[in-house]
Amino acid sequence: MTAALLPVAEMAVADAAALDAAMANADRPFVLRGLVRDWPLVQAGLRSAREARAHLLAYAREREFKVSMGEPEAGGRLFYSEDMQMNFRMGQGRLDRIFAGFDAAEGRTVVPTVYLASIDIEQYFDGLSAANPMPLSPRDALVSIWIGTPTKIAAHNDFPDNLACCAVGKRRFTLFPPDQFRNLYLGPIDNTPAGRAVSMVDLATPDLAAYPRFAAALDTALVADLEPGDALFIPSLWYHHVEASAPFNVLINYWWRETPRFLGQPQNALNHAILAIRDLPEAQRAVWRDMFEHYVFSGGSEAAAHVPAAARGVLAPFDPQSAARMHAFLLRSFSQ
Amino acid sequence: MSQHVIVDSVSHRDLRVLDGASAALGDNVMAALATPHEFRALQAFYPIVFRRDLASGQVSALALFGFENGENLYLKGEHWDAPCKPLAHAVQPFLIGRSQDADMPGQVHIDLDHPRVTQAGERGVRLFDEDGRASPLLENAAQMLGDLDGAYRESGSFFAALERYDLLEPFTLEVPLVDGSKHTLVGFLAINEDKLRALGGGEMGDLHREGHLMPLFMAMASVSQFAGLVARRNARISGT
Repeated sequence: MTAALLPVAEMAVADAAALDAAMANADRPFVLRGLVRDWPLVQAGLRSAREARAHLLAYAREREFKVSMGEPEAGGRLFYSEDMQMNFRMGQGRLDRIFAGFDAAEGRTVVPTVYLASIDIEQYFDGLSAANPMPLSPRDALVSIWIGTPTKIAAHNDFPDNLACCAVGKRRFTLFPPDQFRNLYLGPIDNTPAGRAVSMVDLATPDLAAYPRFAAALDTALVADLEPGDALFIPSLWYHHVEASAPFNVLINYWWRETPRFLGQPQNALNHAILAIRDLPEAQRAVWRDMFEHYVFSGGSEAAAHVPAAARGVLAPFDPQSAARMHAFLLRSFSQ
Repeated sequence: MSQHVIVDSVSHRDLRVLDGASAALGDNVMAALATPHEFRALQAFYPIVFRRDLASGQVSALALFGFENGENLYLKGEHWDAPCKPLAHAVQPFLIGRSQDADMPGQVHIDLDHPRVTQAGERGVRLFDEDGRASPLLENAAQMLGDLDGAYRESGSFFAALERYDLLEPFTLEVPLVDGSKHTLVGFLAINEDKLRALGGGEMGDLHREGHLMPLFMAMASVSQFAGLVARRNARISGT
């Protein structure tokens, strides 16, 4: 059924500056074929999975890596079990031990799921990112590596912009625009497989009787099939279901925010609003909705206009100092 | 405002620097930058805490002198009640100037607008003698700046290791005071001792090889100085 989904547009860029320009103008995802084809990790993986693992091991720090492990019956889907617990367990181990398991599993048809998700590359490897350099112009990006057997990760979104580079194996991203959150039937916020609320719908076999609006989400979906060296730009807040399908898959991704990092995290604001406002009487919620519109969603200019410019405080656009004061003010209010 | 210029024996021949301690000399500050190299000396007198700059995300360490901006509980009139100070504070009004090339050696700069800098009168210590030679004060400042520069450059790998092993956690300190009021210290980070304890041999070996274990434990030891800081605040409230 996913055969009917539209493909993500493809883009060719000459260099990092052209990529920057393309991302700055993009309100939709796009694919860059072969963007990181020259990475030694990609080249090693094209020779064999073992060579790719040897390349990674050469840079691994001597420390315990966190790893998710799932039973073969789940088919690589790291998700909730029937009782809304996780259908996988977490462990940790040295990368050479974990990779020895991959070596031993080669050629077997039934293998347990092993997934090292969202590993901070600088913290767990020394020199790997220098050997396989970021294809973007210099920026303050979080660089993560994702290593595993075949996996299916339910649709979720992230706040930062994202450039995902398929280094080894195959990855299929199924993308939904940010406004599709209702049609994706998101699960709990505080009990999630990997930190973000995920769609409860199984993309492979959607239960449209239980989740009828998912049909509307599928009408908006875009698909990107990535081969080694291909990259995908995912704009902030786009939902993505991620399926890795080769016996050994490695993805390296870059997350960055275009807005100043001294601003708060929007998800924290939403979480606090759920705590503070959602369970109020309807009439009070209506007032708060109006207040949020006035102070936040409108851009806040009307809330500030009549206050002398020098006295606007947090009603004025933030700078690092005023953001730090607001941060401390909030910490103090929370601690009381 | 501050006005930083390179020190030279012609323009600054008559410049004097006021020593001693007082609020008027700019000592009423809540904290000063502390480098890991200094942690062993500082932990005997000051709590050492960490802070993440919201704009850059970079972590630095501070020796705490008080609980709020403009409060230095070690300052008693014109006496600084501790035998050592963080270099970054002690070296004022001097600072390191650097050309575009970060690998070139730094030069001794001075902040001409710092309250310790004076031109008039007989008070203070001159930077240069009658023959234009650097005075012991200036030589000492240059030495301290060199030490500070070296310690600052080395500190990057310490903070990187703290980040790598996720060893920093935010903490909130509630300080009940003798007058019944309460002060809350927020926004700083401390070593997460549970995470440190949970590190394996490989990780500990890494920290040890890079020389980070000593400053790490010194920072943890410094937490006991919070009791002293609270006592100083209470003493100030009750006027003793």
